[in-house]
Amino acid sequence: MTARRRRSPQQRLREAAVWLVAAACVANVFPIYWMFATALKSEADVFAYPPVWVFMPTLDNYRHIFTAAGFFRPLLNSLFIAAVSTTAAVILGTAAAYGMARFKVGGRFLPLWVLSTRMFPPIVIVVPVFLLLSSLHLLDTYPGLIAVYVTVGLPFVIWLMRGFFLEIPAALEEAAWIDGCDRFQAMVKVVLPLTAPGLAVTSVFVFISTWNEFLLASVITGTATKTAPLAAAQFSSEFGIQWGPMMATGVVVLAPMVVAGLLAQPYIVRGLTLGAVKG
Amino acid sequence: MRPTERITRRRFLVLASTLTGAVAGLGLVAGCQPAATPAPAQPAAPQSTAAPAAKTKVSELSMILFDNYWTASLNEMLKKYQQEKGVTVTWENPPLAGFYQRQMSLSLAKEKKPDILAFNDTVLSQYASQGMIAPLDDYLKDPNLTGADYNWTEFTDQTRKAASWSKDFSAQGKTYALPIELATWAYFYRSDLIDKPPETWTEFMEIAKQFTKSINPKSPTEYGTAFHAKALPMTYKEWYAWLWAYGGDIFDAKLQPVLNSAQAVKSLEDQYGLAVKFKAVPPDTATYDDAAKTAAFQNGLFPQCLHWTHQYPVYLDATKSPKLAGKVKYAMVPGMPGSDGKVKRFPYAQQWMLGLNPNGERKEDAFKFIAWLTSPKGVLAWAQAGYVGVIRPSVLKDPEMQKKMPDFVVRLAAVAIGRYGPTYIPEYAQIADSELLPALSQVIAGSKSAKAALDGVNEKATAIMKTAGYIK
Amino acid sequence: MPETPTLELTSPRTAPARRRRRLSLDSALPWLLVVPAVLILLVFTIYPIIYNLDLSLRNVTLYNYRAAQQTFVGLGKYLQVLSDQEFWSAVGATFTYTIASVGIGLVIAFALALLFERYEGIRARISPFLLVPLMATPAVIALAWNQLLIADIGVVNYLLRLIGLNPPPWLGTFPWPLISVITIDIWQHVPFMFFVLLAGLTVLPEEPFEAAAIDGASAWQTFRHLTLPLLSPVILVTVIFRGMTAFTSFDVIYILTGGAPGSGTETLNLFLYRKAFKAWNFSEAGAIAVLMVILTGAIAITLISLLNREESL
Repeated sequence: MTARRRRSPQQRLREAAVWLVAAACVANVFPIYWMFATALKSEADVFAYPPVWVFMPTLDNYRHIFTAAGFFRPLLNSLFIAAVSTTAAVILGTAAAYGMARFKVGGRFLPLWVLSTRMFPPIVIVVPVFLLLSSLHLLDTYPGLIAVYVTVGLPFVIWLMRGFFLEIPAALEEAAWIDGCDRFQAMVKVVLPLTAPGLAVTSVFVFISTWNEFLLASVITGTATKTAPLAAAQFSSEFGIQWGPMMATGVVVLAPMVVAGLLAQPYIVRGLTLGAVKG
Repeated sequence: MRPTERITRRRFLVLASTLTGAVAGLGLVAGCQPAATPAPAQPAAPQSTAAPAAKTKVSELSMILFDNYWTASLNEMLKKYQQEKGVTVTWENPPLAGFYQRQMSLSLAKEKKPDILAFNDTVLSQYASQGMIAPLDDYLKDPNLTGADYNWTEFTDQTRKAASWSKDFSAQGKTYALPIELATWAYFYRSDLIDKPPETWTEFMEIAKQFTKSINPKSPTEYGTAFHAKALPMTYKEWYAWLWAYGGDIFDAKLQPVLNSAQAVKSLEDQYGLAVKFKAVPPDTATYDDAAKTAAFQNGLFPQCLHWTHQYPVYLDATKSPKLAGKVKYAMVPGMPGSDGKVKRFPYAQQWMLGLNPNGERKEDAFKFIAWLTSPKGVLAWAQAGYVGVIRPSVLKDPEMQKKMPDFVVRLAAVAIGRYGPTYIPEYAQIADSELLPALSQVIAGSKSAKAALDGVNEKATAIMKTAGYIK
Repeated sequence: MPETPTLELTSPRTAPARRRRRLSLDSALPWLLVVPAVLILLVFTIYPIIYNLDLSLRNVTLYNYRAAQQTFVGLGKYLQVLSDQEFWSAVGATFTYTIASVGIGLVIAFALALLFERYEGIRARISPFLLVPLMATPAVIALAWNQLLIADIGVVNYLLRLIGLNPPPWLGTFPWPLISVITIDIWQHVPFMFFVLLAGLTVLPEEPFEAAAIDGASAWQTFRHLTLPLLSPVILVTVIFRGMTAFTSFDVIYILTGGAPGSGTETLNLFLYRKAFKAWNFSEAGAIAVLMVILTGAIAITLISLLNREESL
């Protein structure tokens, strides 16, 4: 925060500079824009050099990935897996968060332990999880993948929801208890409605991170449960790289996440820092 | 400020008991693992009892094989099998990038499915030595299973040897697979730019420099050639054509690794020198896999390269390669003059094969299918459906097919002269994939010299061979 | 972490009825709520770490996993890993990647946050654009950048040639691939640091700054002696979270360069992945995993205790 009052020409100069930087920030989405554009190009336009900036859009690439290239299955897999694991993680995590926030279960240690599980690189659990699921015959199955994704989502839900619960005055529940509610009723009828926005935002973030996950999916899925990001990354053929269809798969994978992200924008800071910074 | 947390005795007890419980639970989970490991040895028994059950009519089989240029024609064959025999073969076809991982996962979990596994000669000895695939000799002897006209001996000795393995590397190993494809390398060039294909690697290097703009400003192309250098097995398979021509090898006759011999070092210095020293290859060649190299060649970035022979239909097809149509020819890979002055060429060759899952419940029926697919009749029908990877000599010699597929003549020659890797050594795949590959990738990235990299590989390879007990 | 102070609710015995229901579902509720989640976390996070330890002391590969030949090798695998030059090059790549991404990203994000702090209108307009890379699927980002960086027909090289520059081998020879993946990481995550720092800046108290202005402090002095110290908890959080994502980053490098050791982009993540799923050597991977846990554990404990200290400020 710098001095508030400045002379006018200087201020105007500064504002011009700000606009310039703002333009640069907008230009930052160029790689994503270019992907959208490529997905709408005909094959000749994709390989044209110099690159073409104005072209006749075509939906051929999208048609191709959903018919010939069989992208539909991975997409449905991703939707199903992300939806189920998000729901499960949010239910289990919210319950645990409430327990930790209101009844101080585990004191200070438990929440920090939960946080620490998120600090380890996912790669270190990949081999044991792979072997564990393998001996349970759960590789390339929905239950196996969902169980793993619930685990990945849990610490996130617990920390975020714990923060939301701590913000709600305890007096509200005390009032409910005096009115004859038991603890469970107080939680469901009084506290949860108040944290509804937090719950929604948490769900959105968990959904996005589950959908975007790649490393674990590349190890524990097979043909049956392959997720959409994996299918997009493996999209190539011996006939040369088909950039058009490949970028179309990219758009299909990414667009819903960007939209979801925009919806959660007001909570972005809080979500991404597990509530450590409130935006 | 928050009120300080009061720790009452009751809360302390609760906390302590939870922690104890958690640790106990943890120990339980951890303790289960070592016990769980040997347990799966038991299910071996039901295998023998599965035989009578096989008498019942099987209408479904499963197979895993990655997606490749055979996909369309193989799908037609599966349809044909369904119509002829009433058996549906479900084909799980991951892309090559995820194929090994998937197949290994299935094998690790001792899954009963898929009935049919796919592998090439590089890993056959490894799979066979670890009991991951079933021997086929008994099935091969039974004409009821192979069909009367199977003619196994028609395959060349080299083909049959690569489909079999024995512990002491004798020629009389057990057969573990039926071959479906021969893959070997050809030299592809732009006939509108290069008049005569090079005979030797020396000529190849000259052409490469001549077509590099930074060396020869008049060059019509930006670069002289390109390599498969994205740390995939193709990378060393391409180098072998140089290595062997220069007189180097991977092991000597006593199985001592000789990857850092003078000839080996020179061949790598020459090949990757085109990248590191002369910048005669595209700067991102280190990330080229099959598809990326194809795309760059299709774009006219360089006039010559080595590639799998089966790539030729792609380059000749005007819709797949609009800029190349009518301009691409192919020839034998270059070599080096031997002591008699004649050029010796060593195109690397390998074969993809189908074998049986030892845990499969329908091995006889699965064998019937792979025998049908690789029988003279089956291969002919497959080739007529557009498959070019044929390995069976009688189909390659078929005059009708030779007219339709000009490649078959070259392929027939390749079946005879193509050189396979030392794939009978189970440890070879590990040496090649985990040691040689990273080293080659360091050389082309310019972070190590050919000599230093190959010295390092040879040392590690020697250690592996010693541990395995081949050398002292 | 600024938590709202709350009342202790551990033993709500204010209502006399509570006492009679001590053994009921109601009194067990806190534990019922927490236990399922904790159990799942134990199975999939603590158990794997312990299992890694077990693996790392044996000689387990894919091929002998079922057989009885899993000999106990003591610390042999650790010695093997620690004496492997590739391991140390992976450690080097990991730290280069993490420190460069976080450091450069922090400077850019801080500059942007300071610049946009007072321009709420402009900020609101560009925020959605900044959000896009942040929410985008990393695997897809790798594909998008891959297309931009193709040597012959890629847009980046086209633009460079347009202004007369000779494009470097983005994905080719060392150190360019490393520079490329770091750049992409920065590109993707600067918005995160920007949003967090901005959030921190906007809630700073006004008074000290007004006082400083009256005292005639220069912009630099204000920044150095007011903004930085006041914002330090937020900066710390930013660095911790960003450091975590950079340290664990896998997808983009894996897809873009495959981490080939030759291109210098093989971080510890990719090194472990290669040992486990290309060489199928589970024990070596286990040893690397344990070493990584020790490393990140040490870093995490330091950072968490730092966070805790900030929280009690």
